[in-house]
Amino acid sequence: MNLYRQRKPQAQENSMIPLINVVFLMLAFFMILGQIERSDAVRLDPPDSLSLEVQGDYAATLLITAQQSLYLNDRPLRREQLAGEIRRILEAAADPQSVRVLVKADATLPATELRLVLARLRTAGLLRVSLATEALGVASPG
Amino acid sequence: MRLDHLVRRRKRAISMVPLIDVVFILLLFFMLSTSLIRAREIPVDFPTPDAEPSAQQVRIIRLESEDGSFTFEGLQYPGSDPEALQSLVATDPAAPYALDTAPGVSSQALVTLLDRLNMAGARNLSLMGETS
Repeated sequence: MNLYRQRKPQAQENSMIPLINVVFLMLAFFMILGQIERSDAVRLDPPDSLSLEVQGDYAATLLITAQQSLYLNDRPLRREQLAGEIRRILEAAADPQSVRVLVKADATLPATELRLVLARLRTAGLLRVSLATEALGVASPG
Repeated sequence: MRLDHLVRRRKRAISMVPLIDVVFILLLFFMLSTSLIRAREIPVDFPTPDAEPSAQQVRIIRLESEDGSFTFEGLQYPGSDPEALQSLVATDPAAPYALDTAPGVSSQALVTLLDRLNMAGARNLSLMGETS
């Protein structure tokens, strides 16, 4: 009887092994497929799209919330300041024609408002803009 | 003597409990901080002033409603018919296409139409400037 009682904790530990296996697999899944990203200054839900273009490097990121407020590189910005800030980025760049700005607009933002902001970027002299979208689902890493 | 030997061996085994604790904490960290949503982009490059196409060349498509229905040269096309858009683009896929939008249409509907035009084969896509 005494020996039986001593074996009990080890039996409990053995029954934990399938759980540990599953936890290890989940850990590997999240480590390999997930991406740790810096979160934006405001919560945004970009439009879904079928585009396969992966986001690259940008000189600046412009956020447009559903309430139509602007954030340039996570700093709040008034509409009138936008052209001046873009001109400053273009002046600081070695090749202003290749400067690309990512515009991350909320999916519910009126399209006319998005076009208005894009027109302001163009007036400021910017030639390259990318609209941020998201593809739902798990794709191959990299 | 034999029992004593068994007890000594069990004491030397490494306990799994701290390892499981650490793995659980790591799992929690990765589950909460990683994002499985893949960020994509749609390039919308503006033409340089000297390379801007003339107003006659540009084919203007006006997105009328959230369901994707649009008008082109006065004709209304339903959003539920992808073949209509495909046959429209097939007549001149290389032409510059500019998207106009009716008030009240969301950015999601605009991006969906951009996707559909892209799938139909239109390569030269841009958005109409908004001046108001």
